[in-house]
Amino acid sequence: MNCQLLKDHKERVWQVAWHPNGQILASCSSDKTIKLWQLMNDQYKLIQTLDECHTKSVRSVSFSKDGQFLASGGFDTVVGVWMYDGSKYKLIQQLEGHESEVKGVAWSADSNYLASCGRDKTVWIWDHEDLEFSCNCVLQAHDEDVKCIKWKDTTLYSGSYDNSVIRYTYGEDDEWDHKQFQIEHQSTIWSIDIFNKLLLSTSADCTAKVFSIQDGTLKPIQTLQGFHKEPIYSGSFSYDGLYFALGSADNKISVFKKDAIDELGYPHYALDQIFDAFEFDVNCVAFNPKNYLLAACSDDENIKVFNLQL
Amino acid sequence: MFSSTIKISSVSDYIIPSQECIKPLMKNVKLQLDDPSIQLKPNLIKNQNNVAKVSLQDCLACSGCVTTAETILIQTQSLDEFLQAIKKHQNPAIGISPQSRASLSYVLNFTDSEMHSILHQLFQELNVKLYDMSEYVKIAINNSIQEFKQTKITPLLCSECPGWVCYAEKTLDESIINHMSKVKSPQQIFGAILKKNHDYIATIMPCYDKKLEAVRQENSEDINIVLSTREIEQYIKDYIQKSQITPQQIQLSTMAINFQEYHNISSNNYLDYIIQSTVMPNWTVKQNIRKNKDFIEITIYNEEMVLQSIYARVFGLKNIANLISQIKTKTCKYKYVEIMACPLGCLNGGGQIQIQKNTEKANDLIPKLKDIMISQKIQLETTQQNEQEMYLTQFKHIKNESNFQW
Repeated sequence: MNCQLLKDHKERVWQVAWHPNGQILASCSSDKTIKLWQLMNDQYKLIQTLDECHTKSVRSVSFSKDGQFLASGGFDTVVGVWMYDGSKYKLIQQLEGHESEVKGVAWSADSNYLASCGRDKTVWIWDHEDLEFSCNCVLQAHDEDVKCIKWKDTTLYSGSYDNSVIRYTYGEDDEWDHKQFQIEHQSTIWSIDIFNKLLLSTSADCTAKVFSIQDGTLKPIQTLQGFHKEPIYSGSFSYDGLYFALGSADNKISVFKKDAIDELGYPHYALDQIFDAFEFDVNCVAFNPKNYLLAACSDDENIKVFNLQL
Repeated sequence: MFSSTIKISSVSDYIIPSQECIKPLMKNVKLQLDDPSIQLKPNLIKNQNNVAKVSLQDCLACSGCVTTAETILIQTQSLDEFLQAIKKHQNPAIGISPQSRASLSYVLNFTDSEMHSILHQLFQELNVKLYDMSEYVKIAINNSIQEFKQTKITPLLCSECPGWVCYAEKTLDESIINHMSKVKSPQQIFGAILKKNHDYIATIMPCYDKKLEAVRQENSEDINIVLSTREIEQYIKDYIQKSQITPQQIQLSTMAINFQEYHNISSNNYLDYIIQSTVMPNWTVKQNIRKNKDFIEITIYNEEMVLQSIYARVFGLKNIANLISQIKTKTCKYKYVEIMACPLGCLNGGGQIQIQKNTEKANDLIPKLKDIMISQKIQLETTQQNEQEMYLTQFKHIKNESNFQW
C-alpha cells in the first residue's frame, strides 16, 4: 500500500476534507490553521495556509459541493466562511452565535445552507443572500454536545454525545422539524456519513453501524463490532458506496467492502483490511470523491493519503 | 441554552449516583419534577460501575456540571417551595405578569378580570397579597423612555429579557454589553418597591429564565421566588374545582397598546412607547419585515417624508444572532431594539401553558392571548416628568472568565 505523508501542521490534525474535484485536500488543526494541499505531479503540495480566522483550534472543515465555498468551525465558537476568488480561498465572513466550541460544519448539496453544530447542544443553520450569510435557524434538539452533522440533499442529520441521531427537515410553515432516532449506540456518536440511502454511524462504543434510510426512519442493517477496541472517531464511504473506512482511537484504519446483497436488497460489508495508520488516534478518514484514495489525519500531527490498492 | 450556570465550590471527584446531590445546598431538592415536559439530566456521567466518575471527556462534552445545572436551581423555585415558604412569613406578596394571566384565562376559560379575581381570592386564603404587575411595567417603560432620551448609545438594546441577558453576558464582548439598557425589569422593580412592605415576594412569569433573573447578585434577592405559568396551572385548576368561586369583573389596568399595526404587546410594548416618545403629529411610521416575522424594522419619517430614525423588534435567538453580527460589523442603523429570546415574544414564553400540538399552533394562539391582554382595561399613561426615580441594574462580562460565581 502506498501512502503519502503531508506534514506541516504544528499540532493535532482534527479533520480532512476533499474538494469536489478530488485534487485538493483541506485539513484543520489545533494549531488554529487550515491548510490546503494540491496534487501536483503525483505529490501533494501545500498551496495555502488559512490562518486569519480562528483564535483557537479549528475542529472541522468542509467544502461546498461546487467547490465555491469552504467552511470551518473552531473552538473559538466561530464558523468561518471562505470563498474561492479564482486563485485562492479568501475569508468572507465569520459567523458568530454558538455559545461554545463548534464541532462540525457541513454544506447542503445546493450550497444554500451551511449547518454548524457544537458543544452548546445546538445545530445552527445559516443561509446566504448576495454572499452575505445570516442565521436561518437555531435548533436545540439534542440533550448534549453535538459532535457531527451531515446533509443528505436538504435533509440534515446530527450525531451527539447523547447517543442519538436527529434528522432535521424544512417544514411548510418556515420551520425546521426534527425527529430523534435512538439507534442503539451505547455511547457518543462521533461521525455520520451518508451514501445514497445508507447512513454510516461511528461511535465511542467501538462499533460502527449501517442503516437504510427508508420510510422516514433508520433501519439497522449491520453492526461492525470487534474490529476496534477504542472509539471510532470517523467513517467515510467511497464515492460508489462499495467501500467504507473507519478511523479509530486505537491508531488503526479499517476498510470494509460490500461483499453481498441480501434477499431484501440490503448490502453487507466485510472487512477488507485493517492496519496501523498513525502513532496516535486517527481523528478523521475521508475517501476521495473520485477514486479510492483515502485521506486521514491524526493526533500525531500528520496527514496521510493512502492508495489502498483496492 | 440561555441560562448561566451556577458555580458552587469544588465538586468532588466521586459523585454517588442517587436522586439527591451530596452538596449541602441541594440536600432537600428532589430531582423528580411533576411536569414531564421538563427534562432533568442527572445521569450525565456514563459509567457502568457503582461509583460514577467524572472524566475529562464528560466535562468537555457537558456545558453545565451536574451539581450546577440550572435545572437544579430552577427546582429550588418550585410551587412546593412557595407553599412552604408563605407559611413561614407574615406578609407575603405575589405579582402576576399580564402574559401569565392571559395564558391562564385562555386555558381555564375565564375573562382576564375574572381570572384575576379568582386568583385574588385564592391567594387571600393563603394570606398572600396579589398584585397586578402593570404598574411596574409602567415604571420600567417610563424609565426606559427617560434613559433613551438621555443616552448617546446607539443602538440601545432593551434588557428586560433575562434569556437575552444571560446569553449576552456569556457570549458577547463588553463593547456590546455596553449597549444594553440599564433599566431594571418590571419584576425587579416590583421586588425593589415591595420589599419595603412585604417579607416574601413571589411572581408568576411566562418563562423559567425569570427565575435566574431573580437570583442575580445585582438584584439582591428582592424577589424570593418565581413560578412559571405552567407550574401553578394545576394548583389553580384544583382550587377552582373544589372551591366556591364567584368570579367578579374587576377593573384592571394595562400598559399594553395595540392601536397601530406595528404595535406588539407580547413583550410589554417597550419599543412602541420609545417610538411614541419621539414621534410628532403628521409623522409617518412604517414597518417592514426583515428576514422573518420575528425581525421587524420600523422606520419613522417626518411630515416631509424625510427619514428620521429606524428601530427594530427582534425575537428569537436566530434573529438575535443576526442583529449582533450587524452591531459587530457596525452596520446596525437602529436607535433602539426590543430584544426578546422567545420567538413571538413573552406570550410564547417557555413557561406558558402549552396547548396540545395538534390542536393549536403558537401562530394561532398568540393573537388570542393578545386580545385577552388588551381587552377591557384602563389604559395607563406614561408620565411626562423628567425627574423620576430610576431603577437601574448592572451586567457581568463573563465571556472569558473561567470562574464565574453568582
